[in-house]
Amino acid sequence: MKLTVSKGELATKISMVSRVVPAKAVKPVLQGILFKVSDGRLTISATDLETGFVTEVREFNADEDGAFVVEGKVVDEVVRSMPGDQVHIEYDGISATFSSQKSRFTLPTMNPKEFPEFSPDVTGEEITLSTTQVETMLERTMFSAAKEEIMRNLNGVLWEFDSDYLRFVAADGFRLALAETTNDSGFLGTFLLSLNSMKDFLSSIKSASSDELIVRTDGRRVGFTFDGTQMVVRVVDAEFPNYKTVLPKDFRTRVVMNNDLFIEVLKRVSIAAKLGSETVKLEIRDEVMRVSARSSDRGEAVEEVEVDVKDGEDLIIGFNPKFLLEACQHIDTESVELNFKDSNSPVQINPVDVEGYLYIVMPVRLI
Amino acid sequence: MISELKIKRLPEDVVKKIAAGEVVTGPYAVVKELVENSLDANATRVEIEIVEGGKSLIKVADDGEGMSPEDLLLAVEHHCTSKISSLEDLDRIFTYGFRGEALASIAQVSRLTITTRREEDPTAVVLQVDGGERSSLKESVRQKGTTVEVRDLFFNIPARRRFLKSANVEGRMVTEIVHKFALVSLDQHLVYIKDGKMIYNLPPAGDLKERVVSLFPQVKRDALAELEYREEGIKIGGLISLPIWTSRARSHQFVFVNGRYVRNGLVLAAAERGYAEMLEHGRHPFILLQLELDPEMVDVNVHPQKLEVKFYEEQKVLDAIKRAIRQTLRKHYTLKLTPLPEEAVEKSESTFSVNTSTTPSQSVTVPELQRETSPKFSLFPRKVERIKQLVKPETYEVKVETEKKPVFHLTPFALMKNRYVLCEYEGGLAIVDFHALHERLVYEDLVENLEERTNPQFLVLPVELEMDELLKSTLEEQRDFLESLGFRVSEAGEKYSLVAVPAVLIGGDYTGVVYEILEELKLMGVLEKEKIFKNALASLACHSAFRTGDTPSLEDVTQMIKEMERKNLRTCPHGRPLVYYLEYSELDRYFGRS
Repeated sequence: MKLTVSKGELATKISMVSRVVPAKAVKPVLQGILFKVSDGRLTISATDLETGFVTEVREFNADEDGAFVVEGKVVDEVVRSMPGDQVHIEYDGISATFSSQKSRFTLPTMNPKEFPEFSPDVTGEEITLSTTQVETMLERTMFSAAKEEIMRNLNGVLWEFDSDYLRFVAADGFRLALAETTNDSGFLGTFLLSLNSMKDFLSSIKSASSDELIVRTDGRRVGFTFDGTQMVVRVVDAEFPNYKTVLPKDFRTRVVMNNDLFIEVLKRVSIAAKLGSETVKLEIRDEVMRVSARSSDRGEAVEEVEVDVKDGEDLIIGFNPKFLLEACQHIDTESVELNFKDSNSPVQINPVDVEGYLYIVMPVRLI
Repeated sequence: MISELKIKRLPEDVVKKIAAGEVVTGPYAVVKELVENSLDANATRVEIEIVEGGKSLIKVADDGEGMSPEDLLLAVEHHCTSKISSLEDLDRIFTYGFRGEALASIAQVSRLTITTRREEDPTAVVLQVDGGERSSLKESVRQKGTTVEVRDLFFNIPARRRFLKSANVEGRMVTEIVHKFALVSLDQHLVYIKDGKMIYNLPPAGDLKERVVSLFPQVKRDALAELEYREEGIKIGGLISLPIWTSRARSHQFVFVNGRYVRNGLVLAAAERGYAEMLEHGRHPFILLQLELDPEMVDVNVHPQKLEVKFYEEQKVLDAIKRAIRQTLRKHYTLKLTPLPEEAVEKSESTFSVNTSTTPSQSVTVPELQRETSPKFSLFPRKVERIKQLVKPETYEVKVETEKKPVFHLTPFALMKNRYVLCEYEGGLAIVDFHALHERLVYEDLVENLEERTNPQFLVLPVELEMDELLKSTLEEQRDFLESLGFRVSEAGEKYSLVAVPAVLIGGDYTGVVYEILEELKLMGVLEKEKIFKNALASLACHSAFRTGDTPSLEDVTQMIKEMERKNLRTCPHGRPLVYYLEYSELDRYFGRS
């Protein structure tokens, strides 16, 4: 089998699918990428049995149908490093030769029949979403998910379709991020997708050239179709906690201030907080917020910020500055709004005059 | 009409049999009582024989003082003993048997034959008692001493006989009793015969080590250290194994109080604590403790078989035991220390160093028992004091004369198997267990910055705790302790939820740790508080987010080794060594260079 492919497109597609190729696998064939020509389509696939990709390479010429598997990480590196715009691939049943201009790579192949049976087609009704919308919502939430894979019910992003909204929720226990958009699809249901799969998904949809994203789910798996690529993700079999009961209400203190200024102040002050167990203290009195931190080996830092709006009671409260910072850094508006109840209750951080996302951060006890 | 009384007084012989059962619980108890009698009679040779686990025959023969015919008759009567004559005497008991029940009880439940002769008597006398039925005295022949034969134990209480265990199990229990006698009766020649086979023939032993090694050949003489300790009212002797010899079971641990074997878990626990971090989890050393206490400090009369004792000042005794063991271990390792090359040493107060001269298989690395608490500037003095007390060094450390500690400067140059770091130092090659070191450094950080690291960070989403009743009650009892570590738990009805975790767990897996720590807290009362706290901190350290990747870089490793040298760390939190030193002299010897 002989193939000619556009190098740019091939490199993009390979690096997309090779994200799920595991570094170590029980079956060596799982470390491979399947190249397949049939019915006039060239597809490349990879899976770690949890997440799978099938993507179509549009610009190609092939002399016949055929399939082979080459090691994912190797072929990714090879194609990216090749000179020229075109890559010629020749498969002789034993090895695959990738050549471009004067450069030639001969790669050993694996048996395509051993490549796991992996059906990209997920049944279930079609939900059509906007790729850019989903991308934005993921970026606003994913960073709050628990990083530990062992905490399965928090190590991911919850997709929740209710009668009015589609919501993404992520939480690591100490903080929670929520982003929502109207749900016009009529689909109702929730599923939790792992953080790793969402990272792969996010970087794949970033390069999508069309804005249409089709989602299907059969309850066990979720299939995404976008821009000639199908991605299948297994739903995490763990229950996301009931976050609605913890969303704070009845605020007693509200502060609005310039977001960039607040970020700068937090960064400066937290230099004095001890690494690994940082605490910053916010003292809200009248129109001034005093931000301070101190630790035995890093001394003390204090900075006063004049706030634009202050409603309600004065308050003293402590936080891990990292959680405040990361939330504020995801606020897109010029001003940020902080809503407090008391020093033992979470703060809600949200943009001003814009709806659609908010952050909840739990305080720490002040020492 | 007066109806017949339903409640009848039991016939006297039934009462006696029931009472006898209290003392005679099985063949091992008979052996114990009889051998004690022999030792009380100043025997120099005691021969113990059992057949069928003692079920068909138990025979104890000695060359002791023997009894007069009158004493012999009295001996099988209840509450007859030659050892106590008034109640006040109960306070001062130096002999083994004293309740005057042993022989009489045995006589009630077996076919008993006693043959005895005093030195001055012309002939021996023999008395037979069958289930309490005494025959008349007969004359017999034997040397000075007493032979007691107990046949068909419980023949007249079928219910009890049925409950005897198999001959193997009963026999093993007898063997254990024999071990215990062998360990205290060094001056006696002990012979133990089981089903016609000579198991032990132990001539009087020159010292305890000799006896121990002949009883337990698996314990090597070199691994044993003698205990010698004395303080007001307490003398502690015996033998312990150095940490190089441990076993998975506790079957090599014995406690004797004033020469009498007792069961006492607290004493053994205190003894193992004397080893501090030197013991690996789940390993137990050989321990033979001989406590000599002023009889006024101990009550031996709390258990029918005299297996348990009560100390009047328990804590004092337990502390003394711990100190005794600690001192012995320290002394041992101090003496064995090889002087280090002059340029590589520096004066210090550290109590331990590493024995670098032994061959690899014997090499012993001694964990430090002391932690330096560096006086630290702290902006937050409040809570720390209370908690720091739990991790402060033990106060009864005995200062050993100026010691030397190595200040080798290790230069890492390679990683092996992502686990060992090879380092060069002036004296040779050092191999560092990287993961153990990392664990220790995290632990150190936690201890140093305890207050900040355990500051509670509240949870947005409380985690419901799934606990059995035992864990729940542990949680209830130890809530303060848990809170001092930075956890907060709330309860609603029967449900408990974790609402805050210590800051050190941010970014890590915080759900599992609380269960781990609760399990640790279950041991409260069994282990001492400091130990539990240390274990809890080790759990926190283990789950904290401060991790290095699976493949550490050489720069990371270099930093960590510097830190190790600065803090003079020798072991991981669980007591395993961090560094193995291979000296050039060792290499030279191997390659035949001088």
